[in-house]
Amino acid sequence: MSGSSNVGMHVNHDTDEDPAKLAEFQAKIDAGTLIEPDDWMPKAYRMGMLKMAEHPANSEIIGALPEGEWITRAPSLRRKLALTAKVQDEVGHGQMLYRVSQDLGKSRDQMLRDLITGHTKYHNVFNYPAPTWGDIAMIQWLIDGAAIMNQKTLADGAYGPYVRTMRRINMEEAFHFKSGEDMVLTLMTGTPVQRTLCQDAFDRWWSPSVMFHGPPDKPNVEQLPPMRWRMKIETNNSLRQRFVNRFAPAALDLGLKIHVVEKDADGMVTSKRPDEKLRLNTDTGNWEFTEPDWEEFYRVIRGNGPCNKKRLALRRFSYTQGCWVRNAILQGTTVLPPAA
Amino acid sequence: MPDFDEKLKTPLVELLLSVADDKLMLGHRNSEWTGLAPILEEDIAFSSLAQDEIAHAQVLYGLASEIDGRSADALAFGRDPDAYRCAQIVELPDDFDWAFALGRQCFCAHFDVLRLRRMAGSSYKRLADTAARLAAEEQLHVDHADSWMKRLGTGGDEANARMQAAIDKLAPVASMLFEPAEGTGALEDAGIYPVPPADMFDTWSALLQSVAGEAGLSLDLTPPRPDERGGRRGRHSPHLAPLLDEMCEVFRIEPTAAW
Amino acid sequence: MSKLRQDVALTEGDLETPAVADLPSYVIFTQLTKNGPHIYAGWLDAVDDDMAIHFACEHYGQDQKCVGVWAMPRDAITGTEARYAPGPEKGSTRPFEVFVQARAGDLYKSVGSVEAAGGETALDAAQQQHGGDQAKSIWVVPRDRITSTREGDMIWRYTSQDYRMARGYSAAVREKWQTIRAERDLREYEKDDLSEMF
Repeated sequence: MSGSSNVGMHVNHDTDEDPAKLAEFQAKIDAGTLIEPDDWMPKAYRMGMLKMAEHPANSEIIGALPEGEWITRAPSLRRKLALTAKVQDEVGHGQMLYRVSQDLGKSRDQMLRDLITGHTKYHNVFNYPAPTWGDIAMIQWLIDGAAIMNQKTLADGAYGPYVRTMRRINMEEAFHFKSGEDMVLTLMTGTPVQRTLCQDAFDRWWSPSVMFHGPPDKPNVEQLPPMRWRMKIETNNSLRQRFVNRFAPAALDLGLKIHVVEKDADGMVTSKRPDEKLRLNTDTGNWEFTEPDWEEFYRVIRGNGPCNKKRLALRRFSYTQGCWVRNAILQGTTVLPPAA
Repeated sequence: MPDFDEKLKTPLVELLLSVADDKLMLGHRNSEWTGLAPILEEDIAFSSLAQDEIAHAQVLYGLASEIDGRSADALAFGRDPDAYRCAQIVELPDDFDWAFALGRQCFCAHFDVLRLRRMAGSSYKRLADTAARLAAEEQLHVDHADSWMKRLGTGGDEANARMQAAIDKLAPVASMLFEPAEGTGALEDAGIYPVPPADMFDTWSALLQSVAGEAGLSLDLTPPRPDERGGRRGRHSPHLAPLLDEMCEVFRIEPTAAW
Repeated sequence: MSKLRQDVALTEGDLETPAVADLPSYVIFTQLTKNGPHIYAGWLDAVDDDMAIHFACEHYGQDQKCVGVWAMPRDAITGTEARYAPGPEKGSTRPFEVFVQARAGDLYKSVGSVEAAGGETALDAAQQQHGGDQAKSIWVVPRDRITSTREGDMIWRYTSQDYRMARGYSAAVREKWQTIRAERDLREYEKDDLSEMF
């Protein structure tokens, strides 16, 4: 799964662009015409799209790590195969998303280096720990579920290379979600030990998944360039509501209890109580719920989540260990110059 | 249920387990690289091959299950270490050394293709058909390993030194891939595991010598001594038990449940 | 490896090894049916043609069942977009494969070939012969720069790939939901107090 569509919000849009060209560009987008790499585009759009591909690419590459920890411990041959394939898909998605940014002018090597050294970010949801097999089931059900909702909207965007990539990614996400759903169903229709494993994991992942689509939107979000230029298609609040509407009743049907939890610095639950606000509002058709802890969200994003350092360290290890291999395959071909 | 002599059932299960166990352990080791390999595109490719091995193991455990009675998952996850029939080479951790991982794939894939092609000539048709399909897929692994051995062996001094070091560690252990499983003689006589026209070890070592030569690496392979007892007869390296502890960690929480 | 994952040193700061340029880019097309067109799949980086086709088969060749894969380096493409502007013409007439993107957003598809001495002539011929005026974009690539799988090469495996396809789980998921929902209806019927559900 990749990240949120909020990255484009942070680009500086105050650059001088030819107003006529800008208007033509906006008209194209409003007409539903896709923008291709050689078409004219505002600098802010180019930079924004570069980041909008780089950030989820980073998220895929890092997202592979918590789930990768469980490949060696998957409890059946089918689950072992499926988890390996899922993590493999994520590497592929990362590679394809990096390509969109490479095309817009940043090298993949530089993107990997920026990720490792902390200059660029990835979706904070991957900074939470996956301490049990139950967490793997929850990640594939809740987090992939949330990601698919977002990614489906992004496949409706305006930038050709990004849209084509998202369509390809979404084909595989269906497998991720279905196999996640299968795992959760298996646990909840299993033994008492399995059901407890599942409930405990749900307690850890419900709040991060409700926060997946990002914090409450600015009041004028629909007028800002990212949404006017279809870099971001749906507001965070709307995506969040759709997520809860879909997953709260499903969780309850499964026999899961939805709690408000407190966590320690390691991301483990220290206390929990039922979410008393959780109910279906029959007038609006929406599920009401306790607003998640956005303070925790910002803390984790700033690099103080339970696993931030560990994830980056592992990625760094992989990169540095792989240097001799990358050097070796270049021997006997034209030696590439160092990056400018 | 297959229609042959009672006396051949146990040897056939031993043979199937020896192939399946090799593949499961190798697939297990190689699947660990997913997300951490040196190049993203190669990460994807190597992971496909790891999945092939595990999928092959699943198919072969399925065949064994029909005779043995235990399910494929019970066979894969539920035995004591000395009941496994893998050769020791697949048990070794690679310590995140790409040269070791590739080198091991080279030794094992070449062996596996030869072994599967032998089985493809089996008088037991289900086995023959299955083995033929698996051999065709395993050939991709041979191509991959050969290609990387050559790229790394000729990729400058550092890469050559690393590959050589890996080969030096693997070569002494690799020959025990050829240790026969218990009862193989009976299977050979019955045509279930037919004897190939040329000696398998000779064929295998010639192929590997050729690849090593093209890779600028030196290789010394000697056949296993007949009295040397290894993984095929339940004598494993110290690495197998910890490998199984990790692999079976979740399974063991509820060994009879569906996961 | 899990121990390695757990015990990895928490190093921070700049990387010691220098940054390097990316490997050459290759564009990949896959052929889904025998005699069907080759359809754009995506890009990858590889050191040479041989590596590119292998990477292509294990990534794009595994997304859906296909019977053929093409890989071609970026610098072999001449196209109507500015970034693929033709270089100097040279050499004798040879075949160029033609790829057309019908409208913005569409996938490039192979539509046939033209004979030409160079990229520019090939592009002109392609526009004439393959309705190029209507297309959003056209690429022409010398056939000898395309690395292709051969007929009968294994790409899609014989061994079932259901474990990594959504359809491999649909039936099991449906079946399990049916047991839960049936049970829940029963429980609701039996229970007086529903507040436990919330």
